[in-house]
Amino acid sequence: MATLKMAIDALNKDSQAWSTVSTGLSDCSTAAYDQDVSSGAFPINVPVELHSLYTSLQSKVGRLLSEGATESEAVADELINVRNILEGADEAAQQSIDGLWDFE
Amino acid sequence: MADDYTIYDILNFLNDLQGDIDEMQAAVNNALNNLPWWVPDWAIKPVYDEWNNLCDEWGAMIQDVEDLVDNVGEAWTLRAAAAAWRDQVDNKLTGIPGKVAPGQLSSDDVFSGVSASAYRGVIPNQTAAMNAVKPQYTSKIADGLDDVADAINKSLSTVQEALVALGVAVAGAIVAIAGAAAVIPLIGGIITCIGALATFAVKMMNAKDQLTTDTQTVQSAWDGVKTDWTNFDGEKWPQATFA
Repeated sequence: MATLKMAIDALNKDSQAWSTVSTGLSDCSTAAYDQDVSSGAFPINVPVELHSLYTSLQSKVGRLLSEGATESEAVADELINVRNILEGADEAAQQSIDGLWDFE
Repeated sequence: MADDYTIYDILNFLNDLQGDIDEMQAAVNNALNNLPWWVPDWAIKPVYDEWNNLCDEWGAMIQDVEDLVDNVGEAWTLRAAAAAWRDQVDNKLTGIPGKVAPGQLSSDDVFSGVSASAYRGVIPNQTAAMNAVKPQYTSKIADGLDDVADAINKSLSTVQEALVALGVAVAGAIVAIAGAAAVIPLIGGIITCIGALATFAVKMMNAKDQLTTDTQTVQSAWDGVKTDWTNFDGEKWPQATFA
Protein backbone atom coordinates (compact mmCIF):
# COMPACT_ATOMS: atom_id res chain seq x y z
CA MET A 1 0.00 0.00 0.00
CA ALA A 2 1.48 3.36 -1.00
CA THR A 3 1.65 6.32 1.35
CA LEU A 4 0.86 9.90 0.37
CA LYS A 5 4.56 10.68 0.31
CA MET A 6 5.25 7.74 -1.99
CA ALA A 7 2.46 8.88 -4.29
CA ILE A 8 3.73 12.45 -4.40
CA ASP A 9 7.32 11.31 -4.98
CA ALA A 10 6.16 9.06 -7.80
CA LEU A 11 4.26 11.89 -9.46
CA ASN A 12 7.23 14.24 -9.10
CA LYS A 13 9.61 11.68 -10.56
CA ASP A 14 7.38 10.81 -13.50
CA SER A 15 6.56 14.41 -14.23
CA GLN A 16 10.25 15.23 -14.31
CA ALA A 17 10.88 12.29 -16.66
CA TRP A 18 8.17 13.41 -19.09
CA SER A 19 9.39 16.96 -18.91
CA THR A 20 12.90 15.76 -19.80
CA VAL A 21 11.45 13.82 -22.72
CA SER A 22 9.57 16.91 -23.85
CA THR A 23 12.71 19.03 -23.79
CA GLY A 24 14.61 16.35 -25.69
CA LEU A 25 11.96 16.01 -28.38
CA SER A 26 11.72 19.79 -28.66
CA ASP A 27 15.49 20.03 -29.13
CA CYS A 28 15.35 17.31 -31.79
CA SER A 29 12.51 19.11 -33.53
CA THR A 30 14.52 22.33 -33.63
CA ALA A 31 17.54 20.41 -34.92
CA ALA A 32 15.42 18.83 -37.66
CA TYR A 33 14.09 22.21 -38.75
CA ASP A 34 17.66 23.52 -38.74
CA GLN A 35 18.85 20.99 -41.32
CA ASP A 36 18.22 23.21 -44.32
CA VAL A 37 19.98 22.18 -47.51
CA SER A 38 20.11 24.55 -50.46
CA SER A 39 18.50 23.41 -53.68
CA GLY A 40 21.85 23.71 -55.46
CA ALA A 41 23.31 20.96 -53.30
CA PHE A 42 21.06 18.45 -55.06
CA PRO A 43 21.55 17.49 -58.71
CA ILE A 44 19.39 19.72 -60.88
CA ASN A 45 20.40 18.20 -64.22
CA VAL A 46 18.27 15.10 -63.69
CA PRO A 47 14.50 14.62 -64.04
CA VAL A 48 14.18 14.09 -60.29
CA GLU A 49 13.15 16.82 -57.86
CA LEU A 50 14.83 15.89 -54.59
CA HIS A 51 15.04 19.26 -52.87
CA SER A 52 11.32 19.79 -52.37
CA LEU A 53 10.96 16.17 -51.28
CA TYR A 54 13.76 16.63 -48.75
CA THR A 55 12.14 19.80 -47.45
CA SER A 56 8.82 18.02 -46.98
CA LEU A 57 10.53 15.24 -45.00
CA GLN A 58 12.37 17.77 -42.88
CA SER A 59 9.06 19.51 -42.08
CA LYS A 60 7.33 16.22 -41.36
CA VAL A 61 9.96 15.13 -38.84
CA GLY A 62 10.21 18.57 -37.28
CA ARG A 63 6.43 18.78 -36.87
CA LEU A 64 6.04 15.28 -35.43
CA LEU A 65 8.81 15.82 -32.90
CA SER A 66 7.30 19.14 -31.91
CA GLU A 67 3.94 17.46 -31.40
CA GLY A 68 5.67 14.78 -29.34
CA ALA A 69 7.22 17.45 -27.15
CA THR A 70 3.81 19.02 -26.60
CA GLU A 71 2.21 15.70 -25.72
CA SER A 72 5.00 14.80 -23.31
CA GLU A 73 4.76 18.16 -21.60
CA ALA A 74 1.00 17.66 -21.29
CA VAL A 75 1.65 14.38 -19.47
CA ALA A 76 4.12 16.11 -17.16
CA ASP A 77 1.65 18.90 -16.47
CA GLU A 78 -1.20 16.52 -15.72
CA LEU A 79 0.91 14.55 -13.25
CA ILE A 80 1.89 17.79 -11.52
CA ASN A 81 -1.79 18.77 -11.33
CA VAL A 82 -2.56 15.52 -9.54
CA ARG A 83 0.38 16.05 -7.22
CA ASN A 84 -0.75 19.58 -6.38
CA ILE A 85 -4.21 18.30 -5.55
CA LEU A 86 -2.81 15.60 -3.29
CA GLU A 87 -0.51 18.08 -1.56
CA GLY A 88 -3.20 20.71 -1.19
CA ALA A 89 -5.75 21.19 1.54
CA ASP A 90 -8.70 21.46 -0.81
CA GLU A 91 -10.87 18.51 0.19
CA ALA A 92 -13.27 19.10 -2.69
CA ALA A 93 -10.41 18.88 -5.13
CA GLN A 94 -9.12 15.74 -3.49
CA GLN A 95 -12.55 14.18 -3.67
CA SER A 96 -12.67 15.07 -7.36
CA ILE A 97 -9.88 12.61 -8.12
CA ASP A 98 -11.32 9.78 -6.08
CA GLY A 99 -11.61 6.81 -8.37
CA LEU A 100 -9.31 8.49 -10.84
CA TRP A 101 -6.01 8.51 -8.92
CA ASP A 102 -6.18 6.18 -5.93
CA PHE A 103 -3.08 5.20 -4.00
CA GLU A 104 -4.48 3.67 -0.85
CA MET B 1 33.64 7.25 -51.54
CA ALA B 2 36.93 8.36 -50.08
CA ASP B 3 36.96 11.91 -51.31
CA ASP B 4 34.49 14.25 -52.82
CA TYR B 5 35.50 15.23 -56.33
CA THR B 6 36.42 18.82 -56.83
CA ILE B 7 34.36 20.34 -59.57
CA TYR B 8 36.98 23.04 -59.92
CA ASP B 9 39.64 20.43 -60.71
CA ILE B 10 37.47 18.80 -63.36
CA LEU B 11 36.72 22.12 -65.04
CA ASN B 12 40.44 22.92 -64.99
CA PHE B 13 41.22 19.58 -66.57
CA LEU B 14 38.55 20.21 -69.17
CA ASN B 15 40.10 23.58 -69.93
CA ASP B 16 43.52 21.98 -70.35
CA LEU B 17 42.07 19.26 -72.55
CA GLN B 18 40.48 21.83 -74.81
CA GLY B 19 43.96 22.90 -75.92
CA ASP B 20 44.83 19.32 -76.89
CA ILE B 21 41.53 18.93 -78.71
CA ASP B 22 42.20 22.11 -80.69
CA GLU B 23 45.63 20.76 -81.60
CA MET B 24 44.14 17.42 -82.62
CA GLN B 25 41.47 19.09 -84.75
CA ALA B 26 44.13 21.19 -86.47
CA ALA B 27 46.28 18.12 -87.09
CA VAL B 28 43.39 16.10 -88.52
CA ASN B 29 42.10 18.97 -90.66
CA ASN B 30 45.60 19.56 -91.97
CA ALA B 31 46.02 15.89 -92.74
CA LEU B 32 42.65 15.66 -94.48
CA ASN B 33 43.42 18.73 -96.56
CA ASN B 34 46.79 17.38 -97.64
CA LEU B 35 46.01 13.84 -98.61
CA PRO B 36 47.83 12.49 -101.68
CA TRP B 37 46.03 13.14 -104.96
CA TRP B 38 45.52 9.48 -105.61
CA VAL B 39 43.36 8.84 -102.53
CA PRO B 40 39.84 8.42 -103.97
CA ASP B 41 37.08 10.67 -102.63
CA TRP B 42 34.75 7.74 -102.00
CA ALA B 43 37.28 6.25 -99.59
CA ILE B 44 37.93 9.36 -97.55
CA LYS B 45 34.50 11.02 -97.67
CA PRO B 46 32.90 8.95 -94.86
CA VAL B 47 35.87 9.68 -92.61
CA TYR B 48 35.79 13.34 -93.54
CA ASP B 49 32.02 13.61 -92.92
CA GLU B 50 32.21 11.82 -89.59
CA TRP B 51 35.09 14.01 -88.54
CA ASN B 52 33.18 17.18 -89.44
CA ASN B 53 30.15 15.93 -87.55
CA LEU B 54 32.18 15.28 -84.43
CA CYS B 55 33.88 18.66 -84.70
CA ASP B 56 30.45 20.27 -84.90
CA GLU B 57 29.29 18.27 -81.88
CA TRP B 58 32.40 18.86 -79.80
CA GLY B 59 31.21 22.26 -78.62
CA ALA B 60 27.96 20.68 -77.49
CA MET B 61 29.89 17.91 -75.73
CA ILE B 62 31.95 20.44 -73.83
CA GLN B 63 28.78 22.29 -72.93
CA ASP B 64 27.30 19.00 -71.70
CA VAL B 65 30.29 18.40 -69.47
CA GLU B 66 30.14 21.91 -68.05
CA ASP B 67 26.37 21.63 -67.52
CA LEU B 68 26.74 18.29 -65.81
CA VAL B 69 29.54 19.46 -63.55
CA ASP B 70 27.94 22.82 -62.77
CA ASN B 71 24.54 21.31 -61.94
CA VAL B 72 25.53 17.99 -60.43
CA GLY B 73 25.10 19.27 -56.87
CA GLU B 74 27.39 19.47 -53.86
CA ALA B 75 28.36 16.12 -52.41
CA TRP B 76 30.18 17.70 -49.49
CA THR B 77 27.12 19.73 -48.50
CA LEU B 78 24.89 16.66 -48.58
CA ARG B 79 27.37 14.63 -46.55
CA ALA B 80 27.56 17.40 -43.94
CA ALA B 81 23.76 17.44 -43.75
CA ALA B 82 23.64 13.65 -43.37
CA ALA B 83 26.18 13.82 -40.55
CA ALA B 84 24.18 16.59 -38.88
CA TRP B 85 20.99 14.51 -38.98
CA ARG B 86 22.82 11.63 -37.33
CA ASP B 87 24.66 13.75 -34.78
CA GLN B 88 22.09 16.40 -33.91
CA VAL B 89 18.86 14.43 -34.30
CA ASP B 90 19.45 10.66 -34.29
CA ASN B 91 21.95 10.59 -31.44
CA LYS B 92 19.77 12.81 -29.26
CA LEU B 93 16.68 10.78 -30.03
CA THR B 94 18.36 7.55 -29.02
CA GLY B 95 18.30 8.19 -25.29
CA ILE B 96 14.88 9.79 -25.02
CA PRO B 97 12.45 6.82 -24.95
CA GLY B 98 14.44 5.21 -22.15
CA LYS B 99 13.47 8.06 -19.82
CA VAL B 100 9.89 6.79 -19.75
CA ALA B 101 10.54 3.13 -20.47
CA PRO B 102 9.01 0.36 -18.33
CA GLY B 103 10.80 0.29 -15.02
CA GLN B 104 11.72 3.97 -15.15
CA LEU B 105 8.31 5.30 -14.12
CA SER B 106 6.72 5.06 -10.70
CA SER B 107 3.22 6.49 -10.87
CA ASP B 108 1.86 3.66 -12.97
CA ASP B 109 2.71 1.24 -10.15
CA VAL B 110 1.57 3.44 -7.26
CA PHE B 111 -1.86 4.48 -8.48
CA SER B 112 -5.04 2.76 -9.44
CA GLY B 113 -8.21 4.30 -10.80
CA VAL B 114 -9.60 5.40 -14.13
CA SER B 115 -7.10 8.16 -14.91
CA ALA B 116 -4.17 6.16 -13.60
CA SER B 117 -5.17 3.33 -15.95
CA ALA B 118 -5.51 5.80 -18.79
CA TYR B 119 -2.05 7.11 -17.98
CA ARG B 120 -0.64 3.58 -18.19
CA GLY B 121 -2.43 3.26 -21.51
CA VAL B 122 -0.79 6.24 -23.21
CA ILE B 123 2.79 5.29 -22.35
CA PRO B 124 3.26 2.51 -24.97
CA ASN B 125 2.03 4.69 -27.84
CA GLN B 126 4.29 7.53 -26.79
CA THR B 127 7.40 5.37 -26.52
CA ALA B 128 6.54 3.58 -29.76
CA ALA B 129 6.39 6.92 -31.55
CA MET B 130 9.70 8.03 -30.02
CA ASN B 131 11.34 4.76 -31.02
CA ALA B 132 9.92 4.97 -34.56
CA VAL B 133 11.29 8.36 -35.58
CA LYS B 134 14.87 7.25 -36.13
CA PRO B 135 14.38 4.02 -38.11
CA GLN B 136 11.33 5.23 -40.03
CA TYR B 137 12.44 8.74 -40.86
CA THR B 138 15.68 10.35 -39.76
CA SER B 139 18.03 7.47 -40.58
CA LYS B 140 16.50 7.17 -44.02
CA ILE B 141 16.80 10.89 -44.63
CA ALA B 142 20.49 10.78 -43.69
CA ASP B 143 21.09 7.65 -45.76
CA GLY B 144 19.40 9.29 -48.76
CA LEU B 145 21.61 12.35 -48.46
CA ASP B 146 24.71 10.14 -48.42
CA ASP B 147 23.39 8.15 -51.38
CA VAL B 148 22.90 11.31 -53.42
CA ALA B 149 26.42 12.42 -52.49
CA ASP B 150 27.70 9.02 -53.65
CA ALA B 151 25.76 9.38 -56.91
CA ILE B 152 27.26 12.81 -57.50
CA ASN B 153 30.77 11.51 -56.89
CA LYS B 154 30.18 8.50 -59.10
CA SER B 155 28.99 10.77 -61.88
CA LEU B 156 31.95 13.11 -61.51
CA SER B 157 34.29 10.13 -61.34
CA THR B 158 32.93 8.87 -64.64
CA VAL B 159 33.34 12.31 -66.19
CA GLN B 160 36.87 12.58 -64.90
CA GLU B 161 37.81 9.11 -66.15
CA ALA B 162 36.26 9.87 -69.53
CA LEU B 163 38.20 13.10 -69.77
CA VAL B 164 41.46 11.37 -68.83
CA ALA B 165 40.85 8.61 -71.37
CA LEU B 166 40.02 11.19 -73.99
CA GLY B 167 43.17 13.12 -73.14
CA VAL B 168 45.32 10.01 -73.55
CA ALA B 169 43.63 9.10 -76.82
CA VAL B 170 43.94 12.62 -78.19
CA ALA B 171 47.61 12.84 -77.28
CA GLY B 172 48.27 9.51 -78.98
CA ALA B 173 46.30 10.51 -82.06
CA ILE B 174 48.18 13.78 -82.41
CA VAL B 175 51.47 11.92 -82.38
CA ALA B 176 50.20 9.28 -84.81
CA ILE B 177 48.81 11.78 -87.28
CA ALA B 178 51.78 14.10 -87.12
CA GLY B 179 54.23 11.23 -87.64
CA ALA B 180 52.28 9.33 -90.28
CA ALA B 181 54.25 9.09 -93.49
CA ALA B 182 51.74 6.93 -95.31
CA VAL B 183 48.05 7.33 -95.99
CA ILE B 184 46.81 4.24 -94.16
CA PRO B 185 48.38 5.11 -90.77
CA LEU B 186 47.16 8.67 -91.24
CA ILE B 187 43.59 7.59 -91.77
CA GLY B 188 44.00 5.17 -88.87
CA GLY B 189 44.99 8.08 -86.64
CA ILE B 190 41.98 10.06 -87.74
CA ILE B 191 39.68 7.14 -87.07
CA THR B 192 41.25 6.84 -83.61
CA CYS B 193 40.34 10.47 -82.96
CA ILE B 194 36.78 9.86 -84.11
CA GLY B 195 36.56 6.81 -81.90
CA ALA B 196 37.94 8.68 -78.89
CA LEU B 197 35.38 11.46 -79.21
CA ALA B 198 32.55 9.03 -79.82
CA THR B 199 33.58 6.96 -76.78
CA PHE B 200 33.72 10.10 -74.70
CA ALA B 201 30.22 11.06 -75.81
CA VAL B 202 28.91 7.63 -74.77
CA LYS B 203 30.61 7.85 -71.37
CA MET B 204 29.09 11.26 -70.80
CA MET B 205 25.66 9.88 -71.63
CA ASN B 206 26.26 7.01 -69.21
CA ALA B 207 27.29 9.41 -66.45
CA LYS B 208 24.05 11.36 -66.82
CA ASP B 209 21.93 8.21 -67.02
CA GLN B 210 23.59 6.75 -63.93
CA LEU B 211 23.03 9.94 -61.98
CA THR B 212 19.37 9.89 -62.97
CA THR B 213 19.00 6.24 -61.94
CA ASP B 214 20.74 6.76 -58.60
CA THR B 215 18.72 9.83 -57.70
CA GLN B 216 15.50 8.06 -58.68
CA THR B 217 16.42 5.33 -56.18
CA VAL B 218 16.70 7.95 -53.43
CA GLN B 219 13.48 9.58 -54.58
CA SER B 220 11.70 6.25 -54.28
CA ALA B 221 13.09 5.66 -50.77
CA TRP B 222 12.14 9.15 -49.65
CA ASP B 223 8.67 8.84 -51.16
CA GLY B 224 8.30 5.83 -48.85
CA VAL B 225 9.41 7.94 -45.88
CA LYS B 226 6.93 10.63 -46.82
CA THR B 227 3.96 8.28 -46.90
CA ASP B 228 4.93 6.10 -43.93
CA TRP B 229 2.71 6.94 -40.95
CA THR B 230 3.24 3.73 -38.98
CA ASN B 231 2.94 4.58 -35.26
CA PHE B 232 1.46 7.96 -36.18
CA ASP B 233 -2.23 7.39 -36.78
CA GLY B 234 -3.97 10.37 -38.31
CA GLU B 235 -0.57 11.57 -39.50
CA LYS B 236 0.06 13.02 -36.06
CA TRP B 237 2.01 12.21 -32.92
CA PRO B 238 -0.18 10.02 -30.68
CA GLN B 239 -2.21 12.02 -28.20
CA ALA B 240 -1.47 11.54 -24.51
CA THR B 241 -4.81 12.55 -23.04
CA PHE B 242 -5.67 10.72 -19.82
CA ALA B 243 -7.01 13.28 -17.37
